[in-house]
Amino acid sequence: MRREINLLGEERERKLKLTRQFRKLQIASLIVLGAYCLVVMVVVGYNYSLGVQLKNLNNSISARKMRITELKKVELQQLLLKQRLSALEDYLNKPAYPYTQVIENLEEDAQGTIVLDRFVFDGKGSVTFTGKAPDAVRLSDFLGGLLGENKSETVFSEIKLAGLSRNINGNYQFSTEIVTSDKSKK
Amino acid sequence: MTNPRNKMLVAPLGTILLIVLATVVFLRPKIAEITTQRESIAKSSKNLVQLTAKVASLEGLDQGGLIEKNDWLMKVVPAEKDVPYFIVTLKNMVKNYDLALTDLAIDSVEMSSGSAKVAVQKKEVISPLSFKISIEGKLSGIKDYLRDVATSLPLMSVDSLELETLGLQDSDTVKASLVLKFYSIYLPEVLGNVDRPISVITKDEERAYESLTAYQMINQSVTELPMFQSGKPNPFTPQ
Repeated sequence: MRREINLLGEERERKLKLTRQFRKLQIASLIVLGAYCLVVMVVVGYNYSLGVQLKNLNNSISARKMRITELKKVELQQLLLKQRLSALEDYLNKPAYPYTQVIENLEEDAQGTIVLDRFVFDGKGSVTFTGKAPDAVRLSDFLGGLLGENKSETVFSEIKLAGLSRNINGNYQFSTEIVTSDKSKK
Repeated sequence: MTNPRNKMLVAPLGTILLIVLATVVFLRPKIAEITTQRESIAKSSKNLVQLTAKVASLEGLDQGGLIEKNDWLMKVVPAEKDVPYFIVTLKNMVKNYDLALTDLAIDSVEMSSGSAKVAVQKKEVISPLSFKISIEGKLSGIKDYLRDVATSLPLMSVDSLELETLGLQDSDTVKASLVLKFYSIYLPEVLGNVDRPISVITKDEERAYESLTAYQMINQSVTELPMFQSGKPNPFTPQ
């Protein structure tokens, strides 16, 4: 029986262990590198898909814009209509000054006995008028009528007798300023 | 590199170095690009939705109807201070109420295009043009005239009024001096930005249009403009 003595056994074991560790490290590095490459590929792929998506979106936007340009005339008409109607809506919401109503109210209060000869509407809600009354009683009845006596409502909010004079024949010449209740005016 | 331990570290260190380098040079800009692209996609998607809605709205509009309405509104409130058109209106209206037009004056400052520019700058869309006129006729005619001014087209309003009469009897002739305002609306300076959503006509605006259709259009028939002689008469004009 032959007996062998391995004098390099310990050294060889150490080398083999080192080689195994080296291989393991190499494989691990390759795995990490491979995983990294995979991540990079995913990122690049996702970036590419986003690029395609963005391109498609931009193409769709261009197509829509082109269609809107084709329909420019319709849009222009709509814009014009909108501009005019919004301005007119504001205008129509302001009530017109009731010139005729004021004249008719004065006419009614005058009852044919008072002669009204001049009216000045200043455009801000105030009316100045001059007239002649045959006597003081009829004049006071007329002014009372303007103030709303025997009436449920009146269009006048303020009445001012600006001037009064008596003629030789007993007639009264007067000047009156009235303010209508509704001052809003176009 | 004689030391085997050092030789062992080459692969992992090289891998780490490669990863770091690739991350800095390639991956990081790509990730930044992805972020930007995602933001752009979100923005573009929103824009596309708006544009699609706008296209749908525009395709749903009746172009013929819009043109018809605008043409009519151009007569209601012209795009510029159309003096001849206003004068024809004045003449027709006075004629309709059996009144006589005795005097007519136009505010030259309001008429100039300079004032028009100021009005646009102040964002006053409706711009008035004042006519100082004198009319004569029966009181009933003048009352009807004043009543109908507020419901007649083109759009006008009485700004101030002076009435002179010998009495408030229908048989008396009354002289009325009034400032009549005609209105015009300038065309918008900026038109149809593609990205801007379409202006929708509100219910109130539709109601305003409906109420205007009930108004009376004065210039139904074309009337000649009044002719004014100026300077010396032409001796060669055939009599």
